[in-house]
Amino acid sequence: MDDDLERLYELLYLLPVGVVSFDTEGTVEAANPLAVQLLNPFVEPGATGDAFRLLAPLVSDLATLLDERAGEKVVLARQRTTLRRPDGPVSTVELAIHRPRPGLHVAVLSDVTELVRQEQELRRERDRIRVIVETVREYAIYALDRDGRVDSWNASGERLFGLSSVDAMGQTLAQLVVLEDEGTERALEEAVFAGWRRLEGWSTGADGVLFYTDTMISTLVDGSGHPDGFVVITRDATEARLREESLRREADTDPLTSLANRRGFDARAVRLVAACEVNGVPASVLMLDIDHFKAVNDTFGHDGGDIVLRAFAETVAAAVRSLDIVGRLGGEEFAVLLPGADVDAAARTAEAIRAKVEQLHIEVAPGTSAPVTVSIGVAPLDGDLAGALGRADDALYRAKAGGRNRVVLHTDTGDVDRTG
Amino acid sequence: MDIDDVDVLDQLLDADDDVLDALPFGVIGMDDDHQVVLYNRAESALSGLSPERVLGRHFFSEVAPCTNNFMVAHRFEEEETLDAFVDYVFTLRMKPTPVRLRLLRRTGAARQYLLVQQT
Repeated sequence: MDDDLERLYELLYLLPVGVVSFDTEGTVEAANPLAVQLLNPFVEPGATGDAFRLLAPLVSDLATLLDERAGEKVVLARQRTTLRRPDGPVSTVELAIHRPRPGLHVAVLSDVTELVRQEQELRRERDRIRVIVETVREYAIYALDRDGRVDSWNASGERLFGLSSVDAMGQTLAQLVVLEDEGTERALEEAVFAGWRRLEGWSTGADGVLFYTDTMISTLVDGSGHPDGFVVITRDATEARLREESLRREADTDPLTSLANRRGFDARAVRLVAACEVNGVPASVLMLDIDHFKAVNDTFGHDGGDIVLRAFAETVAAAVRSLDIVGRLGGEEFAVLLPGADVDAAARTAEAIRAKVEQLHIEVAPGTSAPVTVSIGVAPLDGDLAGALGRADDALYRAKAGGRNRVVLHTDTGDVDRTG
Repeated sequence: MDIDDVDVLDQLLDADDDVLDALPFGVIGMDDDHQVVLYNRAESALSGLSPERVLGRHFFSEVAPCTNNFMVAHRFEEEETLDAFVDYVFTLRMKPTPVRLRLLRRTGAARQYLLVQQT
């Protein structure tokens, strides 16, 4: 028995919460050291046997409270009080008072100073983030649940997408950000795998106008490391995108004729050739060279030459379909890629171009027209663009040698002059 | 020996266990690491803990955490020479009890003492 009592004493001495039991008059029946310790500097000397005075720093009028809550099992739900000790430090004590049976009260006291500090820290952090999230311009910061549906929305998203919280909640990323190349579901899967995923696409903005979005998805993980939703930042990247597109267009375009230049022709032609290959569709190329262009320059000057080049380019562009690619490869040399056209169809197109050019009346100076003709080499494509252009160039050479203003086909059996 | 004696530390260092157990006030003796090396009969009666349960334990963290603060434990840690009276409240045998403490430490002495007198 003595040993049991000793163990009980020891438990009470070492208990990490304070416990005080007292009767209706406030007389302390039992207490452990921490209960007194938590209040030590604030309690008047001699108050130790009187729970009303002992707990006075936390409950100013405990006697009245006991009356008011008479018959209740819980006299006081957990309540926090911050105390400043005479030597400076602040401590926060949480108090709850229960009444297990009439006439007996048990007060439980905990030092929650550190907990309160952590909570304040967390709240400050949350406030800081909230301010950032809600005040950023041109960015929307929002969250998706595990299934990829919006579960947190704020002012930044309202501004960028023009969607209220009510309208945005539950939307999928695909509904917000329309991707150019791939599905958003796959993007989310990749974000889960890699931790993040960046994607771009066109989206509808607050004003109903499309804008280009640059979106970063970061995967959240729960305590055990499993994916638990996403934080998404979407930026309006329209200006950057348009600037980039215009730069690319500039780099790929011949400023005089507005046709693709060598670089632009090659870049677009390579993709189109690959598409023809994949789909088993024939394609052909034309090489075109304006006849006696040097004489045009010599006679009418470079300005006259430029007028001829522009008129010629317009004529060729008008004579082909919109899916064909026309490029100015340099000087007076042009090329056309005709997807879907076998060599005969290409020859017909070439002949149509030749005939239209022959009929042009290009006014190079007031009252003066320059007579212009073109020689054209035609070659079918067999997968190798450069090779086909080379063969078309050979045919073009023969067209020149054969007297100009004519179309020559390059075939396996040799060049065939289609004009003359 | 009286708790108020000026030379009480010398008397304690010289006293054998029988003398210490006969004292009317509690005596807790600690080594440099604050492990309890002495727990006299009066202190045992006050706390309800037998010496066997306390000896060898770290006093401020494993026996009486309520003294692990700036008023008691910190003074033993910070002050190499210490002789101070502190009015304090111990909760002994489940009762808050006003006590008078005397904190004793001297450089080079084998033991430090915390004396406890019920007021």
